[in-house]
This record gives sequence, structure tokens and C-alpha cells, in this order.
Amino acid sequence: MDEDLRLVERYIAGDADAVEDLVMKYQRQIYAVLYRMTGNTEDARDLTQTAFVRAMEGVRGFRGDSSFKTWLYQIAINAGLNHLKQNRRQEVELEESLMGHHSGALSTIIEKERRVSIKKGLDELPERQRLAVILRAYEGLSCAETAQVMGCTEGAVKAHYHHAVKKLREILKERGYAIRP
Amino acid sequence: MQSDHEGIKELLPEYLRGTLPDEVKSEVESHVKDCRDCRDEVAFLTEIVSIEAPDPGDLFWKTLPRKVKLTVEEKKLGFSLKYLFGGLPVAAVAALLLLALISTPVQRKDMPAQVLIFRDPLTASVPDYGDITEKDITRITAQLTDEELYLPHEDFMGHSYYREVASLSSKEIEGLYEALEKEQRAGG
Ligand SMILES: [Zn+2]
Repeated sequence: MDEDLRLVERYIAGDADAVEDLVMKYQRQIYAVLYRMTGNTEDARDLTQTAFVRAMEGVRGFRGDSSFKTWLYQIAINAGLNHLKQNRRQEVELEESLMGHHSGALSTIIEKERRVSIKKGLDELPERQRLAVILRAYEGLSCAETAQVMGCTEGAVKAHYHHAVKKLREILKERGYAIRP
Repeated sequence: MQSDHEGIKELLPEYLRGTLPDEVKSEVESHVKDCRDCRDEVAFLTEIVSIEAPDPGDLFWKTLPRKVKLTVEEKKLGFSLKYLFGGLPVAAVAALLLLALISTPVQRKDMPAQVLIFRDPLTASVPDYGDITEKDITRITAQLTDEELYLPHEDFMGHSYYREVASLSSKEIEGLYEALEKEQRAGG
């Protein structure tokens, strides 16, 4: 049996320590997704905890026909989307964290500005396209996994991803940042 | 290999994350070497992924697993207590909590048996606890402070029955006790 499923079964059988093992295994990935969705470290920290608590509370509803990982991503992303709906994104913090240390060499400053541009470009994408990029490019989920997490077909994921990449390239080009060869 | 360009391009995110099996990985590498389009895509993906999520620090990673575990357990307990008390009339809950105070001032010797059965919340309840065993409840309640334990009975004003009863004078408690007795005699 799959290691995650074993942990889930241990938890259902009453072994609460299995929760800790599952959280330890996935906390970094879930935090990273939520940070990329919200652009805010504090929100990402809170939402990571919320997502895990919800996942464990609802774990009996997890049928095992998807992997625990994609199921967890699904819950995290829903938590992230709800949060975004409630509070429009705060881009300031991210910008500050990226631009904050102006003491560096000119090349580092340019590098940081570039990253801010990429992040802004990402934020300008429609939600589904942004999610497709976050899950595929950052998280390295396969098309099939991304489709499961987003609740759409693989074809739709490919289309979202394709449009997103195209648009991001355009945005970066407009701002004078050609992709380095 | 060029014929599989679309398929390979699709695998690039996983390739960069290092999640591909070795044989697929070498297939991707040998294709990318000769495909300008895919090399572009790799450069682009590498670029986007350069935005790192700031690390929230070791303390966060070390404490989160335990925090989640405790929150889940507490919620499970809170749910069962609410369920437990939700099935009883308010007067019965008050009686139950009154009994919790019995060690303090108003020790009554002539306490009727009907009231005494509430001493043990587990026997006074009909509800189904789902998967919560008695052992769980004992273990979890042992970890909670009085305040946390009584949290589920808080009313919308934030007063708990526990605190309300505790703030009554002994005369008022006698009055409450008599009212309960009357209600029970009436078949309440
Ligand atoms: Zn190619």
C-alpha cells in the first residue's frame, strides 16, 4: 500500500501521531503553493495550517481514488482561493521582500526587479491560468495531477498552461525583460 | 525523437523539479539538447521558478505538525461535547454543571437520585460519539485546562454556564436547584 494511505488509515484507526507524519511530509509544498497564490508569508502560514486541519477533519471523505497528495493540494487551493476572494491580494509585502535590500550590487537589483516583474505578470493572469502555472511549473505536478487538483480535464490544463506561458512571455517582453537563452 | 516534441515539452516542469524517473529523464535530456523550442521553454521555466517562497523558518516547520494534530483533536472533542450537551435540555446542562461545583460551598446531602445520574456525562447521554472512545476523551480532557474544557458551553455573549453558575451566590444556587427539582417532579 501507498505510504500516505497507510498513514491515513493509521489516523482513522485512532493513531493521532499519523497526522504529524503527514504534515511533516507535505508542509513545505503546501506552504509554497499558498505563498504563490497569496504573495504573503503570514497568510501562507495560516492557510497551510488551515488546509492541513481541514484535510485531516475530512479525511474520511478521502476515497483513495486520487492520491492523498493531489487531494491535499485541492484542499489547500480551495482554502487559498477563498482567502483571495475575501481579501484582495496584498502585493506590497511581496514587492518589499523582493526589493527590500537595496544595498546589493546593481546586478542584484536588476535581478530583483526582474523577479518582481515575473511575479506581477503571474498575478495578472486569470485565476485558472495562474493556478495551472503554479501547479505545473512550480510544483512540478503532471498534467493528470493538475487536472485532478483543479477539477478539470487534462486538455483544459494544457490550454490554461499554454495561454499562461504565452501571456507571461509577452508581459516580460513588454517590460523589456527578454527570457535569457 | 523530434516527433515526440509535444510530449517532451509537457514533461519539462516535472523534469526541472526532478520528479521524473531516470529513463524518462535521459530521454528528455537528449531531446532538449537538439530542440531549440524546448531549450527556450526550459530557460523560461527556470526563470519563473526563480521566485522563491520566503522560508518561514525552522520554528514554523517544527511546530506545525504538532499544532495541526492538537487542533484536529480539540475540534474532534469540541464537536463531541457540543453533540453531547446539545442533546440535553438547558436545565439538565445547568444541573450537570451545578454538580461540577458540588465540591465547593453548597454541599447538599438530600440530592435526589435523578440529579445524581448526571454526575457521569457519559451515562447521561444517548448520542453517538462516532469514533471517539472514552479513552480518547479522558486523554484529551486531561490535556485541557478548565477554561478550554468549558469553552463549548459558551453562549453568544461569551459567558460559559460554568462561569455563570460560579458567579451565583449560594442563595441563588439553592433557588436554581429548587427550580430544577420542581421541573423534574413535573416530568421535565
Ligand atoms: Zn522539443
